[in-house]
Amino acid sequence: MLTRRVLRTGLFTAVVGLASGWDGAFAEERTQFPAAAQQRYDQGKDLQKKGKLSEAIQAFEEAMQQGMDAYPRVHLQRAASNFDLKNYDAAITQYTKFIEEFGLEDSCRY
Amino acid sequence: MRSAYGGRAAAYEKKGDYQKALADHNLVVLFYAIEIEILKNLESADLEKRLQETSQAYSARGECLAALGRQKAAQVDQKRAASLEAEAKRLAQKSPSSQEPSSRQIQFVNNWTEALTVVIDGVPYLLDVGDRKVIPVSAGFVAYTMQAGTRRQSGTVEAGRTYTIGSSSR
Repeated sequence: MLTRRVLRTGLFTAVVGLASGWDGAFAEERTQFPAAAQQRYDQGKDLQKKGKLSEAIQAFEEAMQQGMDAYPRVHLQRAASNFDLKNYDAAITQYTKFIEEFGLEDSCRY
Repeated sequence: MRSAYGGRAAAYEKKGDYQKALADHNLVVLFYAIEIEILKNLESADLEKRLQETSQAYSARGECLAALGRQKAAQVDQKRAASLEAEAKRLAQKSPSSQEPSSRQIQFVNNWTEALTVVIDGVPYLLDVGDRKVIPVSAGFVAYTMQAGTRRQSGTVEAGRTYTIGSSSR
């Protein structure tokens, strides 16, 4: 019989900082951002899932302005939302910006 | 990075620019091909999922090649995609998904709403949404760090158990 334990995601709210002993390859991804930016990013993802793509894009852009510009995922989410909105030129521009600015080392896991 | 190249390739195709799309598809296939080789050498639990994704990458490039009139090259990619898909299915049949982890393994199930990474003994294991992964560990309790997006938590988990990361209490 499988022994199951649920790691409650509520624990995720108790975000801890980068552990000092963290391995280098993984520690390079910045994980601490201003709370307001984090909140807008989460809102953006929710809006994206609901198909409210224009609002999602606005939320992602505000998250960037409020301190998440160095977070690769927010750029990918914004580009994907533009693609789904058939804003292909914007999507291409944003994917290109991602490729040029983050490079392989900062984005290899995406 | 492959998400960005793959996304841009799709956008180029929507605009009818298949040459630029093909250049991006080539990079996506290259990234996946390298990753598959590494995962095979490591006998990684990620292999099945990556084989499926690599199959999709070859298939997407095949469609692009077909749009460019390069039918022979397109067929090669579609055959490669089918081969990878079959390999992934064979691997899935051997999957330990319904087995209890041994006393030197821990099983993680990602029922969270996004991909996350669990780090055990300094080794990161990526779990996409819905993934189930068996991680080899030493017996007893081991420290872990888990990250989903910008969220991160640390603690200990016990060998021989299955841990489900869920969203019920969020």
